Amino acid sequence: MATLPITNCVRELRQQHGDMTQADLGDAVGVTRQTIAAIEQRRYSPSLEVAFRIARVFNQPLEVVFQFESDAETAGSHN
Amino acid sequence: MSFSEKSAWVMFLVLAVIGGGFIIDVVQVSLAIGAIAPPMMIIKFVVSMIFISIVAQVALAITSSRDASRPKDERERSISLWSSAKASFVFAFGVITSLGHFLYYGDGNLLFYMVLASLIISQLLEYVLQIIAFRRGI
Repeated sequence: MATLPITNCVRELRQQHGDMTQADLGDAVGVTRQTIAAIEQRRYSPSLEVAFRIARVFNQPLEVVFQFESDAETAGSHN
Repeated sequence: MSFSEKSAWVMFLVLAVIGGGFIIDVVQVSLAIGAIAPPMMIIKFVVSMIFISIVAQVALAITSSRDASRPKDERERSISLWSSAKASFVFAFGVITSLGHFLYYGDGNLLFYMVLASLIISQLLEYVLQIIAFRRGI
């Protein structure tokens, strides 16, 4: 399974926000619990709109929640 | 498992069972009469598909009532589009092959069943691709 180049700290932010569940976050941003799980596991890169909505839920700038991993870093993380 | 993935599993199983049964029926009738079975056999297949699909989807909606009423989210829509695009190539290949076969042999009944088989196979592939994409990502 290919890992997507966008990393995130959604799981950590959920835990910092009173152990918010994936379902709660999904409801807050308008996606399913399974989509939040896929984002956390880097199996799905959200649209810009959903990314902004997630960042807004946690009161964080977008770049704190999501980061772009370059090709070299992605290759390095697989070795 | 999301409602869309459950729905893909249900429809895959329904189509595999009903479609498989239909193909076996057509082959048996064709062997018995010594020619390609008449296309009217499709009526039983279509009625069965519609009835069992409705029953299965209603049962699924009752067991997952919260998720069933929610529209697809962006990931589910993109998986649906991706799998549909891949399956359409298989359908197009099947139709073009069927038309080529018709040009050579001129058997309209066989053309009918070849196009129908292409539709069933491409639809099965679409459900399989959806299930894979839900599990592994695209």
